[in-house]
Amino acid sequence: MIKFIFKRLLYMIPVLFIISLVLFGMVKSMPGDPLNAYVGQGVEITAEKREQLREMLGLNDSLPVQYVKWAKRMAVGDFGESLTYKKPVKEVIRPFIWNSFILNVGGFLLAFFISIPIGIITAVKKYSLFDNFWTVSSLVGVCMPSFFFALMIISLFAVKLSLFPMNGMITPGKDAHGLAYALDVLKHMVLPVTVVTLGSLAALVRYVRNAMLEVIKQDYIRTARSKGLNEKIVIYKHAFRNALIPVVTLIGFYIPALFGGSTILETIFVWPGIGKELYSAVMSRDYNMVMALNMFFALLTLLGNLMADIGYALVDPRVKAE
Amino acid sequence: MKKLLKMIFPLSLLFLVACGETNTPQAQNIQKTNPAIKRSNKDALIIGTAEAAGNFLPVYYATAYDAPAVALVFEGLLTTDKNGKFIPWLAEDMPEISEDGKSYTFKIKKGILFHTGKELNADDVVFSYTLLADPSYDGRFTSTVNNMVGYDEYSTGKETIFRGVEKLDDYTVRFNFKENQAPNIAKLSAAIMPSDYYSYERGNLTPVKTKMQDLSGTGPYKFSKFVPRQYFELVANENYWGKKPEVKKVIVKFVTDATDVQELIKGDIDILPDVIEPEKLELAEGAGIVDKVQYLRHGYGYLKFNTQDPIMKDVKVRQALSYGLDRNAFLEIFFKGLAITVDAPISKAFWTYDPSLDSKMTVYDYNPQKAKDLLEEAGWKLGNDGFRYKDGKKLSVNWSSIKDLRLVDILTPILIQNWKDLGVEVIIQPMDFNSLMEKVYVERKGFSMFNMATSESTFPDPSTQWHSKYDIPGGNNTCQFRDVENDEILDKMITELNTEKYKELWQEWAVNMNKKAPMIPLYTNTYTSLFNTRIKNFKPDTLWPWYAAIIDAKLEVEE
Repeated sequence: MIKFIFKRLLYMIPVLFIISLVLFGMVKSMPGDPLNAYVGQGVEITAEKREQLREMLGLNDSLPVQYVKWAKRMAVGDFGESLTYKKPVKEVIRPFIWNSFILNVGGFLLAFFISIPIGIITAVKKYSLFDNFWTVSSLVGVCMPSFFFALMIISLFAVKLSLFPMNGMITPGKDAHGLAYALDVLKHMVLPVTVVTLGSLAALVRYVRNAMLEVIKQDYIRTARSKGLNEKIVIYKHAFRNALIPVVTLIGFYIPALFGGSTILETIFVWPGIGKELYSAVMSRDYNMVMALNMFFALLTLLGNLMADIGYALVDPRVKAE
Repeated sequence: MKKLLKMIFPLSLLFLVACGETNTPQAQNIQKTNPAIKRSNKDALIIGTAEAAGNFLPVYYATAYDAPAVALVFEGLLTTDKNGKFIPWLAEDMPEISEDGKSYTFKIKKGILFHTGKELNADDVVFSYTLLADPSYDGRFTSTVNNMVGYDEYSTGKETIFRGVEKLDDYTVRFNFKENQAPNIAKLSAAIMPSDYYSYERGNLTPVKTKMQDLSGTGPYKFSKFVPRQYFELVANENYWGKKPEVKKVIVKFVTDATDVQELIKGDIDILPDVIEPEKLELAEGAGIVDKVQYLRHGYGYLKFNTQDPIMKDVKVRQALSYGLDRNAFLEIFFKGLAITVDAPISKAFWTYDPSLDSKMTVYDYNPQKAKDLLEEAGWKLGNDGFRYKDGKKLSVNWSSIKDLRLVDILTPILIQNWKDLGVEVIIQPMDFNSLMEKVYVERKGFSMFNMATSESTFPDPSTQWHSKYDIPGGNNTCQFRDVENDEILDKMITELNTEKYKELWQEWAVNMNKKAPMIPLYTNTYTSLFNTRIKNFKPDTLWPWYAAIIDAKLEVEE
């Protein structure tokens, strides 16, 4: 197993290299000049200063030279300076990634915990009222855009009922520390986490239900039942474990999503996450920032795939790691 | 993505209006107490704005939302008053100008303390201006110093002392400009930073850049806290040398378009400045706890012609297109009356403007017949397909417009139909803002018209935008306007230090611009500042932003 993981990690190096090449090419071929975006409209700046700035930012080098310089820095963990923030990219994005992470972890954990039992029950009681209810509502849930839903719960729980703050992550001006701080953040998290949960819940319920239905049809379930086993044991011991296999794969794929943010959700809830950061970096042609974020997401996706494979091997004895 | 983000706003209004509808008529009765007074931090004045990036140093800030922190913490030798006129601030008096008009000498007020406790002196002034000329300076404000003597030598490292600003004694400084130019005065209002706190080695500004949120100026507020993408906080400077602000704590909270008015109505924020959407005003109207002040924007939105384009070169075509566009129809739909039209590239807030100017200018109100006549005169004859031709060439406008902008979405059908009626074909090339900037500022070809909006600076100097010598790659003369008369007036203006004469020249220039029509000024819209009724004496204006107006504001914390 360790050999397998090690081999897979080694494979990731050339893959990352190719991804970085493609990304770099794409980012650099975006139309527009980062200097224009930074200097802004109507600000007077002489041609000489412009040239000097281009030189400082390394924009005058040829693309291959720029790539090599960037890759060299990247290899030692230096992501460069953000054009917008005038700070190392690493410093800028670190807090934002964690902010996205706590929101997503909360949302996904809740979604998994809720969707697994619902998925099982809907599969076992196929075509019952309960099943039909979830079929309809998950269809609605899949179709409904998250921002629409976000606005709905804001207008209900924040505007009308005043139960939760409308947006933000902390109460401005309240210098809370320790537990009080955590509670404050928690209070602000409720609404956005609800949106994240419900956003993934609908799809997950369908997923678990289908996986479960697939398993229940199998011969060994019929055998188990004909042995006279208790239905509960059949479902939870025999069927469920096997139904988990595709679900575990899914968890692997959710890893990158945990760290990625949703631009729209973060905008509506004024949540200081990473999604909006990537969007504004692209719009202002902050190359170092865009590259660093995209490489980070690429790495997470690769790691997520690896984890899905490992998880697969763990829950499915038929799959041999080799 | 941007489209989606833009969609959220109207949709959210639909929602919030729908939800609010049931209680608006009785709102005044229901809200017996102002919700802002029940807030745990009711002693603080909370302003809702779009996100600040967090670059709060005056030499590095890059967005309009970082500007308030800069303006409240730092001050310059001069500042502008409510009419945009320069007045002495950290300086004792207006500068003494040398005979040749190139040197400005200031006496600095004594006894003014920075937030760090250090007393302001000439060294700090020299420091603050020299920083902008540093070889490693990578911010946006080089235009403050690049007209000063020795800038080129110092910024390229050829000289080690910047000759543009000199210390004469501890409280006297002299600025040396390369040329005698009227707008030089505007460069003397740059923020003064304490030289010890922000010290750095020449050629390496890294130590300064690490203090983006560690601010020390001489201003009425001290910077106390920044939470990225959430808010920043300022507290009144107890040792302020001037009129001390009434409000002791100011919080600028970052809000979103989708719910900002709701936050105001709920009392979560106290002021929502510079609102432009009529829908938001309607929403705030019924709340009973919201007051408003309205004023015009200091600038305008426009359609600029590429005056070097073979078709647009002809002034008659440009005038015809101006007459042929129903601007008012567009304003009515988009701004619901909260905007005016101007007929030249001017802001009426400038001290150089006078109502008598209006009578000297042609009003380009919608007049399709006149437009057609002008096109006929220019030799563009109607063909069988309904479009006009001259020498076998079709009269066609190639419009580089901005993608995913509601304004463009509303303007486009009106413009296409209006100009089609004249026999003009419109070809649209939508692109994102950054690409458009690249196209009109740097490439400068491949379009005959584009649209953007501008905000004017503090000094009414039109040269950089309109003089033919700024029609260069990267230059601000994006109309590529080359007009002899225009250049002549601008050349006279630039050296005119007498304000009355300057004003006359400026008006002469405006009249000429009005006649030559290198652009269609589309709108100057009204900004509305919405604020909680518990705030008294808050009077922002076109040239008096909210962060200037809050100095006089009072806050009621009890009913």
